[in-house]
Amino acid sequence: MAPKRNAQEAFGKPVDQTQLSAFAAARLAKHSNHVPAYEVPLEDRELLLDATLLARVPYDGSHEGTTSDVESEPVDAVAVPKPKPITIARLPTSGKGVVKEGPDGRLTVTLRNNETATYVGEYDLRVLDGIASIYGAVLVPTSSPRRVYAPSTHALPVIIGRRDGTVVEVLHVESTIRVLDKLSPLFRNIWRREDDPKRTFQTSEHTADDESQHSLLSLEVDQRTETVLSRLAMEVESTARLTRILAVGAKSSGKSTFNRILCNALINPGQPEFGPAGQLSLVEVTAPMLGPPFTHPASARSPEYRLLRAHTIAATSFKDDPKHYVACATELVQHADRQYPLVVNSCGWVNGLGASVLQDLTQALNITQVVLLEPLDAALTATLQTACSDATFHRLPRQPVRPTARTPAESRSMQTMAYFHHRVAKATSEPRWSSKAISSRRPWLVSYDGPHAVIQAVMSYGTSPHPDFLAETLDGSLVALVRLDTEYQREVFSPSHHTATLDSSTDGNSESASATPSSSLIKRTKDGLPYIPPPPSGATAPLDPRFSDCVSLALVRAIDTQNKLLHLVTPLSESQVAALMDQPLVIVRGSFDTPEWAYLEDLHLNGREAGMEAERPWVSRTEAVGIEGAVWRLRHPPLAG
Amino acid sequence: MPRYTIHPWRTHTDLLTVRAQLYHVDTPAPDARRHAVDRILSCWKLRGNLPHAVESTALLIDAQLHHQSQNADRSDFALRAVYTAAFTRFVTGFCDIGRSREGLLQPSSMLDVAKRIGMPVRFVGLRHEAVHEELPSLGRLVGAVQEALRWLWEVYWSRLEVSDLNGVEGNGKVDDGEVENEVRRVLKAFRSSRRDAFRTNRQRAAEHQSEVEAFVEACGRILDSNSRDRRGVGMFVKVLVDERFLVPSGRSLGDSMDGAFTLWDPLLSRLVESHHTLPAALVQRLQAQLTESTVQSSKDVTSEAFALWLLHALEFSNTYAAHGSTDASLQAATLRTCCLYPGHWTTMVGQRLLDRDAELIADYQALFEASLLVANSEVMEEDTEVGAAIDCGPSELPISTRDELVAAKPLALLDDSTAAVGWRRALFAPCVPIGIVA
Repeated sequence: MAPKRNAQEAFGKPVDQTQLSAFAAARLAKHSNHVPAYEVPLEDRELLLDATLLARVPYDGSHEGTTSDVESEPVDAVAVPKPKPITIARLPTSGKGVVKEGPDGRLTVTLRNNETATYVGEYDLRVLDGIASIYGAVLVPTSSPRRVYAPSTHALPVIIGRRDGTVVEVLHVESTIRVLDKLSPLFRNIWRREDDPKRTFQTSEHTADDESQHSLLSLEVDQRTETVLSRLAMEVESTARLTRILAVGAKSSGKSTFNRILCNALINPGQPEFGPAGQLSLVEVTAPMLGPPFTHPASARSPEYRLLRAHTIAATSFKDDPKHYVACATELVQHADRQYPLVVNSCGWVNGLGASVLQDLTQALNITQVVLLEPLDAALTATLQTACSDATFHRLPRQPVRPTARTPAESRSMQTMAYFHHRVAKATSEPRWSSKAISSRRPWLVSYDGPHAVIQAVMSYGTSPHPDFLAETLDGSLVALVRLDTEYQREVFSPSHHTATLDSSTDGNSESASATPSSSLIKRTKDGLPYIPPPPSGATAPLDPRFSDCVSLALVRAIDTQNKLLHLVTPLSESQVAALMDQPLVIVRGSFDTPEWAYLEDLHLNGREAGMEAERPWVSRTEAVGIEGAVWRLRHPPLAG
Repeated sequence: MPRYTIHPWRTHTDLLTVRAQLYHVDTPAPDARRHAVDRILSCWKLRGNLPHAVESTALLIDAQLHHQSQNADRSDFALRAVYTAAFTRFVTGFCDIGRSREGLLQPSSMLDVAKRIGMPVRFVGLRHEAVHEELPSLGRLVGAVQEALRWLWEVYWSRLEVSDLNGVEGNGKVDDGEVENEVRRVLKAFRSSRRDAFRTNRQRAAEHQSEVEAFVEACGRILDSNSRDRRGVGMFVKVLVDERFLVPSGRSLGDSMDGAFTLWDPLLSRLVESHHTLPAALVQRLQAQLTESTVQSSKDVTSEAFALWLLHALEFSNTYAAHGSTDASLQAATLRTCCLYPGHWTTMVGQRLLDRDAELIADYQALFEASLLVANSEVMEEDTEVGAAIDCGPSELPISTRDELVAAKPLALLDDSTAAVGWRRALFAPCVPIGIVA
């Protein structure tokens, strides 16, 4: 019998993506914007332009990368404790250092000044002698070991020796995040090859010829960036006054990375970005962030990235209500300890509405330092400079554009998935992730109708669903759980509060607010779901951020209309939920992404066929060969009769 | 490797229902179109992943409904604007998606894309006119929208997979009830045909064989219906088992089941050959009958019949199933169920399975015996958390405690006092997909 051909023989060698021409890179970048992981890749060009195929594609603005460039990450405001002085050295040159291999897979690397070492995977980093820096954070022998997450989907952090004879140890770790591999293909093959069980990491040279064909890039901090970083660090160090830093740049221009490095440089060894999409959070950071955002979720119980307060805009973009967005950010910043420098992670929408929001934000937050990441529209720069004449401006040259391994939507999926699986272990500060499929987590049964209802209302930000379809819309969707300030429960539902100037919020005007009592505002659907009908003028007014805060996101696992219960899955711990039990809560739904990852986790976990026999709402199996190739016949003529 | 598509409709049937409501204007309910449009635009759109064809259809029909409504305040501009917005969004969407699918650095023009996907080029012309020139006249817009709806029917709606049951979609109602009726009708007819044949002693006659053949075909069509979500098979076994087709009426305890087996085997064995998901579905349904019944009494005639059928089904799946791999796992799964739900008849089934198969003995003998002990012991530990983790059954409580409880109800909902709490944690880890109440 002839041996079976393997897939590679049958389909030819995969294209070597490690050597991309600029043209190919541009195409790749463009493509990666458009091809979601679950979609059937269409090889045949002729098939590509079949009307029936196009007819199945959602048209939601993701097809014209240039026009509606409005995917905005939420603002994270980060308060970092007062730093010690730091001098950041010059750009690293070259050299790989001397590597010694230890018995348990650990590597001991001796670096001279400016020598570097780069690893892909997950590892602990400890400095035995000298000084090393990674991701802007400076590590010395007295620092505790730091967990580094370096998936190949992101630029790899580089360990740089800052003095001759620096010795660092790179340690194998009990992986915590890799439990997610089994639950979603997005997390697969991003850490390191399987063939070395001794180590959860490997040197980046090895992975370049890895079968997974990732294009590996290291995270390089160039000269100009270093200069700006050290100037900001000096500023924070020297001035007694409040420091608030905002980086402004187009999307994917490196704002978040810059902010991460900045935070890492400001705090001594430490790490965080924080919530899932749609959430604005204020986080106190005391440890450096050595990995992409999904590896350092903030939570109220995390000692390193402590979530102080959060609001939700229940959308991946603020386009529907920019005022609310600015109001939320402004309110958050008021909770920040004024003695800590504050780094604001802004969104990458720098033209049109985005630009004017940035301007509002810079003013409302009293930003003192603005970092401009080129390329930026000159008009925006000018406007910002006029609007914030007190602020100091720093300018960074254009960073190289990297092809991304995940589309923005996929990255949000990964972030949200990691958020839902994240657990704070009591004993250690190290984050852990649950390996159970989200569908088999025990949900909370929360009553929404009757005398013991804890859900006051289901609010819709943006477009409201027709009440008849509220349950159908909510089922299996992501929502935000928002806690209402008990005293202001009435006012919080009243419109127009958030447009008032927030500085006057401290006086007693809340008593005199002419708000309609919430009880009369709330209607119920035929299933008994409480909702607030949108006013004739359009969208429902969002919750006033002064009187409410977002507790967490939740997945509506199911709706038990018979017993009037919502089955909710949240990342909150039992004790956190216990603290919520007597508080008035509102569920906010908006335009969060469909949690596709959640519908599929158990399928990925249990292998192919399992589970598709039974009813699985919202999911169909697409046969590998089939529908596209099948012969279709026209049935009835349309509009018969 | 299978791939999965996420769509905003819960089941394929929902999509077919909406299609029927949108495209059959002459059906009795005049609000049906309104309802379908609202469902698409104000629910499915918000859920995300709505195919552009579905959205476009809803927008275009919404414009038509707006035109038909008796609102006196409507201005000519408003009418034309609504039609124009729906139409331009429809055309632009198709062209944009087409362009991004091409993935060219130099994107084709809208006109090129339209030509390649077979969209009438005058659609693109009208869009251009509406955007860059005067708003087109009402008459032209009305005509264009009708034409657009016809085109959408052709490229999208007409090509959805549907069940082949005649008349189902013509009525605009594709619900489970109708499929079940069809199953019931076919099964009843088959049963009487077989009985007649036996009575007249012509069960081997060629004439009767061709009758059987016709029933096999009819059932095959039902099983194939809705093949994408495999509901055909589910509904078939549901009716077959739950409605006691397999149990001879007037049977007493201990009677042989050979008559029933002889009656049904010609049909079932043929179907098992052609539909590889049928054995598992049938076995599961029979198991459910045994485990869901409130009390598994040793005196229960029906339970005995189901237990015997279960053994028989496992046997003939072995013999006839085209895909040889299914049987071993089916036996093991059945045996596991027997261990988890020890009762008179499940124990009988388990014992017979163990007697048959040496491999199963190695894996299951110990567990099986332990389950018998538990079932007979007086003291029961309510280890709900762990128990729930073992398997997905609705209730893993051993039989003797189950008799005391109101059986077959999830434990979490048993106690009225728990309903008084606003928040509580489900006692069991659910084993159903997201979207289904555990």
